[in-house]
Amino acid sequence: MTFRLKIDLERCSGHGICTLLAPASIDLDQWGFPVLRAEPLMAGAEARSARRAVAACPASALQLESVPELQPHR
Amino acid sequence: MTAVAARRPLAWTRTESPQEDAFAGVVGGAAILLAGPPPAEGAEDLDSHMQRLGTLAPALGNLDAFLQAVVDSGLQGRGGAGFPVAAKMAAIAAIGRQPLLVVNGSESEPASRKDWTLLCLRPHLVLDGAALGAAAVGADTAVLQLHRGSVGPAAALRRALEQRRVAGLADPAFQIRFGPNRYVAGESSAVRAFLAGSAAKPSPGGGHAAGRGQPVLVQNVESVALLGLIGRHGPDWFRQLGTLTSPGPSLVTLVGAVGWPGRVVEVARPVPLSQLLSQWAGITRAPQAVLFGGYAGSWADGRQAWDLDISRDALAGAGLTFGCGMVGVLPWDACGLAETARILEYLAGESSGQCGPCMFGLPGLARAMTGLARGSASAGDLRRLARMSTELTGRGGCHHPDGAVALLEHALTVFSDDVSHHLRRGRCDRAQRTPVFPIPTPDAESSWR
Repeated sequence: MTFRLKIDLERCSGHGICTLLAPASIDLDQWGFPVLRAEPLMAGAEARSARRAVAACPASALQLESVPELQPHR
Repeated sequence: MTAVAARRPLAWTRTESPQEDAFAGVVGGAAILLAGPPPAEGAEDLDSHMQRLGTLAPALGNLDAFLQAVVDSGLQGRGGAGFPVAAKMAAIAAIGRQPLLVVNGSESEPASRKDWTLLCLRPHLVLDGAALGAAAVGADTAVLQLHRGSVGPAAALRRALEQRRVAGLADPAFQIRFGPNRYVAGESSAVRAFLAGSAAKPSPGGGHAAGRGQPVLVQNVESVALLGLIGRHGPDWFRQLGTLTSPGPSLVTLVGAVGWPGRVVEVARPVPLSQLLSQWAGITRAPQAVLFGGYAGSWADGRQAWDLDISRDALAGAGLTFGCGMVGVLPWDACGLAETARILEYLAGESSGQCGPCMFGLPGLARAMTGLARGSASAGDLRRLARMSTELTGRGGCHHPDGAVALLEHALTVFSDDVSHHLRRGRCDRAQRTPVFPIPTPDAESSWR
């Protein structure tokens, strides 16, 4: 399974817990708000860390979506 | 069409009466939006409007043909983004529930006056378009959305609505609503939120259809006025104006060192900036710089922009924003960095505070720019400014931070000589000059509802 993180910046209040739990996927900007890494897709251990970050977010501002497998071009 | 000259304060309000202060002109052909009695006569009444343009009944009687005419016209929304109007109407109709039509006259850009002018001078043109648009999407109510303090447009609309009631026109139920005087409150998702009883703040995505509740179709005043004309005269007539990819006339507002800031000019077919400014602002030599599209718009070097056509396509081709049609002239004796800093301070204060990067980043950006304008910034501050821009881009639920960053980046490019001068020698003499662009004084009552 492949996943992708989404941040709702209107909910986020900059606690910064996500970057501690999923440092491979999330950085903080200079104001303390999360920035997703440029390559959005993840799987395996990284996706498990991301899931922990989603669960721990006090503002419920993070979501992990599963990305459908690539379809061949029609 | 003649222009009416009158007193011109630097920072106008929206409460002045149109008789004294409405200016209007046309370039590139004959006017269709601002055709009719001269601006000094104020709002055109229903009799004059009907005599000039004829009845709307044939279009109201064949709404399928009207919808097809809107598709064929290629009309792009005049609120700023240029989204195809027909696509928005089709998306709303596809929901299958009765929508609400919102005629968006918020015109939050502080220096833009095109919608204000249209509402003050040609209220029936707007109301005709609203009646036709509402019927076409099956809306029985149309909201006329204004900012608080839009006294002139509200008065013109009330008189026009009374004339229509007496004449017994087949209109939807019209409601005039007043939203907060905030920069982002006129954005369509913010208008939708306001009408639903929430704070008038933008929401991410800002899709055309509300998720739950009543679908809401938000269209800019100028777009709505054009709908009424397309309904009467058809798409081929409309396509004779404008350009192939951006058909129809466009209104622009002349701002800054233009003699009469706030004058609105109808661009029937694109003309070069030089012609627009010489004809309606008395400017015969390229100015230092031009700010296109609004306060979240883009700066261009005056000499490079001088021969540029004033159209959405030509500006986009030059990497510039047409936006709300603002054309702001920066004279040679003004400092572009100081003007940009003032505008950025304003935009920072207008963040709706929903997203952290915008809430904290825009004030940081504005402070750094103010430091640069005052000549107290170092090369390190400039690097920090660049880093803030990068970290802010695309980081809002709406495009407010993106607009501020784009303005800053254009300024650093167009005024690059000034940047090095300010870094080496401190503030330039030009930064002491009286400011060129009007900044609204903060609303005492800064409510979002």
